Amino acid sequence: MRCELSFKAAPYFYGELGNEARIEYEKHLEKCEICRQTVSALKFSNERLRFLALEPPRCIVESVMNHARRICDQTSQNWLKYVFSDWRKALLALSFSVLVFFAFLDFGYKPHIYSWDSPIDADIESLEYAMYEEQESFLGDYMEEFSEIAEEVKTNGKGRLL
Amino acid sequence: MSDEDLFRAYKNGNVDAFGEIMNKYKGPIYNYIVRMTGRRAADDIFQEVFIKVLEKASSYTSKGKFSHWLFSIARNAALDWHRKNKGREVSLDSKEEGQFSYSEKLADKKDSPEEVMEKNEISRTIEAALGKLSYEQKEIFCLRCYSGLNFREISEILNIPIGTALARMSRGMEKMRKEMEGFL
Repeated sequence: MRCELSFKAAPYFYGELGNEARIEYEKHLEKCEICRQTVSALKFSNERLRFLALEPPRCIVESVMNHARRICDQTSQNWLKYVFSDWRKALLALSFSVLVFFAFLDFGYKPHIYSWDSPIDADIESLEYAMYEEQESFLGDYMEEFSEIAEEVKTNGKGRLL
Repeated sequence: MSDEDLFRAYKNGNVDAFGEIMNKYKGPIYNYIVRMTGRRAADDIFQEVFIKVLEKASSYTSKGKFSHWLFSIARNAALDWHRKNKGREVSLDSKEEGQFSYSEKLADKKDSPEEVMEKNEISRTIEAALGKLSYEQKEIFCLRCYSGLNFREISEILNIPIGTALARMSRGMEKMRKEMEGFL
């Protein structure tokens, strides 16, 4: 004999029926001997199977754990390798950053507009400095002559040509 | 910590996290395999399943339940064995193979001879009842019993509709009920 609702016995036993379906099936169980026996068989077999449960051999569990340790060691070695290679890159980046930092760090040093004002290249005969000197000497001669002519014009009323 | 968190921790190099997983699942997985393949093959398959779990860790995405993934690996391993060894009887008592008897294991040294007899009787009844089931019926029954997964999740592992899973379970229980009638 079979019951067409016996397929609900397992979900009922394992608590997988919804509330309404569970109440409905419980009503059915009161009337149906087959379903009651099916639920009892489930209970009996589950309890006994737990009671009869075996443990895997310890040596096998230990061998799996050793395998896990080996994999973890490899993972950490790879990680160290990655970090180490990255560490060298990081060191390079850090050195560069320190250099840039010191290059732009303001230690109270005021930038000079003209290179010849700079104490850095004060002793250097730069092209600009040479040009400046040339310009000064050239204009200096003329300025002197201009002031002489201006003086002559002022006193004599006329001046000579340059 | 959930199984998923533990397994993520293992993937990040924490072997103790895997130890916790092993302690939690070694029993259910081993017993599932013993029921599906017999004791002779169970040790090797058990080891194979966990080695696969360790080596395929990267393929596990934490979107799914860890136990779902673990039992699907165990199920496939047992099914592969079954396909290769079709017709071989699954015996839980492997005394003839030089291992200890399943019935001997059950009997506690403190047990009286009557208790030993009773335990052996239970063992025989369960074995006889499970022996009546087809591979597919036993697969669903054992998965539900040992994995703690619900029928919907089991049907996903088996890649069958949930109605089919429930029908297989129902037909299997019908056979078991008849076999256990004396004990109910």
